[in-house]
Amino acid sequence: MIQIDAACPAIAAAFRKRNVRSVRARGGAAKDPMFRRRGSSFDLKSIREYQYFDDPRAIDWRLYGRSDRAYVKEFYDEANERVALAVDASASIALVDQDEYRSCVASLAYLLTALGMGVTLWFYGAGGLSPRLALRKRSDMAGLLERLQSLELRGSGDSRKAYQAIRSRGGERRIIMLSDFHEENLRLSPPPGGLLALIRFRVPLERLAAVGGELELNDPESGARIIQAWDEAERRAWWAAEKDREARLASMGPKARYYCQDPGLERESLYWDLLERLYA
Amino acid sequence: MPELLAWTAALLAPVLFFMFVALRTRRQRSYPHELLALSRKTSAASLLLRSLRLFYDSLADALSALLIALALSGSCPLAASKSAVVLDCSRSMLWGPPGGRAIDEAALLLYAEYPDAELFLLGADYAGAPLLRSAERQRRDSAGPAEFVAGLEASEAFLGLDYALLSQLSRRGYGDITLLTDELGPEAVGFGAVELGWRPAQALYPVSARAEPEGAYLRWLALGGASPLALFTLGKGGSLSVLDASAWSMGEEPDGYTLFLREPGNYLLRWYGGELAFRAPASPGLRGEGRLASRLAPLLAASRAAQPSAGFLILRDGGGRMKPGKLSLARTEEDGLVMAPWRVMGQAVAAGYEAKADLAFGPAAFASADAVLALWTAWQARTEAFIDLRAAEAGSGGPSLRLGEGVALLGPGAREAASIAALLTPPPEEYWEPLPGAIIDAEARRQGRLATALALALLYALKLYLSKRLRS
Repeated sequence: MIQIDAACPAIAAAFRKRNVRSVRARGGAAKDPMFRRRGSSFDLKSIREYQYFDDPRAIDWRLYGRSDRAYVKEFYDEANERVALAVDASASIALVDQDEYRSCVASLAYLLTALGMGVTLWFYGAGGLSPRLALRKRSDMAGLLERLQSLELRGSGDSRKAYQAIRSRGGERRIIMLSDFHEENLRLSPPPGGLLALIRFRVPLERLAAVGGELELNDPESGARIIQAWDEAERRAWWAAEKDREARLASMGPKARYYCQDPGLERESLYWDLLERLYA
Repeated sequence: MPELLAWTAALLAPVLFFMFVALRTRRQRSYPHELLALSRKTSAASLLLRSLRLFYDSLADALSALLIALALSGSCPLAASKSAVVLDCSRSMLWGPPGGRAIDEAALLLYAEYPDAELFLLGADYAGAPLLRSAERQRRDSAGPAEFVAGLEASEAFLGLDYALLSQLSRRGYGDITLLTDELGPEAVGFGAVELGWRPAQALYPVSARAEPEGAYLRWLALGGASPLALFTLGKGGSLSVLDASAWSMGEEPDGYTLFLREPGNYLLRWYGGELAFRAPASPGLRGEGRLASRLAPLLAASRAAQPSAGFLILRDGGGRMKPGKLSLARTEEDGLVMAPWRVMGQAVAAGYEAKADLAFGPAAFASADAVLALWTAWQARTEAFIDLRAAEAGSGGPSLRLGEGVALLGPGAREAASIAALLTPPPEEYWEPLPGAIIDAEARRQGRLATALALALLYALKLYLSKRLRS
């Protein structure tokens, strides 16, 4: 059963008091306004005389009428306030608790729309990246819940390719990815001036099978089968490899954030921290 | 084949058991392999069928079990299949008129039908020891069968032979072994025998010799109508000198002759078509070694006042056949065979079979009063009369000299001046057609051991490799 987490309305109410619009445009990372990126927002950056390389459409004709000289107005770049949610819908994610996984997706979408941030949902799995699902207001949540309810987890999903496709097709600078991130040597670069949050749903192998004997492991995505000895030494090796994997996922730069969700772990702190990052 | 099936079933049983246990305890789970930090999938592993990858361990064990079963049952296909042809070089191959002897026919066959098979000679050396040796070079150097036979007659001793040596060929990797012989008698197992037909011998053969105070009496059997022509004394270096008429006498018997010689020593009896050197015995001694032999020896000695003299017969329990100066005995559980008539003077005496003994006695043989005849004739015929046992045992130290159908071992020193240390004669089996009923097994059970071991090593190396590749 997919439910919005109970703490979400309270978290949204607390963050609603903050003015998300006051956040300066993400396009220009510089603190000095002079060096911030030019764009198409309504924030005036400067007025200067027309140069031959300027777009004639940018000429302020009223000023031209008063001064008989051509001036152009420059505005700051408009910040893209939308947040992209990339949701892994491959077969391997079926191993995690589906109520927790889908509720987390729904709760994040709820929080972001409740706070006035547009949300673009991308599902990736069999067939690559699915058509985006745009959420603008809270009433769009019903469609999302319905979509999540009917979501089929199958095929193989590649977080690296999905991320690159979202970057090229979406344009959002704040991307939240939810997956098990099983890809080897996964390395993602956060969007310039943006944020990349990786929420990993992890299922330790020992939760699937008690230590001892042999395991015949079927890869849900490739279909390959192997035999794995599963003793205490192998369990320790698994955790050692897991530690390396986590360190790698957590070291993707200052604009990247990694969260690990083990089964049964509460998600309230995840929401708080993530929104803090979005509002920073 | 039934043996192979039995071994395979026995060896596969534990493999199947462990496979069953592994399958029962193995748990199936779905989990992304990338999260296991496995040694990466390899192209070799990818090539394997999925089911093979799951059960390669049991499959390797099953293949190993099959290999071991093949090796144990002696039907290993990995055994080399080289072919060998073995030529019987015993005295019986020379019976018959020149050109019509078994050896002549065998040589023709060798050149006509076995040009590619490696040639071996089965016979005895000039010291009487059984011999199996390659004669490929001799065949290559000969222009044809006739020259080859002439070469053999010049080089080989043509005494007896030991079929047990044939198993050496199996062990050396020869899968196809053909024996060219005159008459095999027993059933051949593990090799093929081409029998060219028994030619009756035309010879005189001494079957017993006894020493009396007045001289030695030797009993000769006449085969093929042979009759004595002349008797000589053997001197230094094998020189012959005519014997004084007073020193000997010969009486005719229904089946041969009895020769009386006043003095013990070395003599040569000639008949039409052959001659044989022999030794007239002094009173022989007898000694027993082993539990059975030491109990029989006093009984045998007591039957006649044995006087220790130059010759001894050593009775011993087992320890080899046809050993000069020794008669080996064995006690068997069963004795369904009959002793060769020449051993027991034509009486019907039960006998057992033991490959490592000259005589095998079972319960029926011990119950027979005539069984002692076998010991008696052996004592009389195979010891003092023909072989100087101590000299033959120690090795004469000098050259060998062919004397008629036998061989004289000369003592050290110049050939002309060397004394005769020992006289070897062909064994009596060479003079009588062999009887069927026994089995000659030349099959080596452990054939193809190296190939099997290599195959097993490869199999386990593959298993180890797959284990490292397919398991974390």
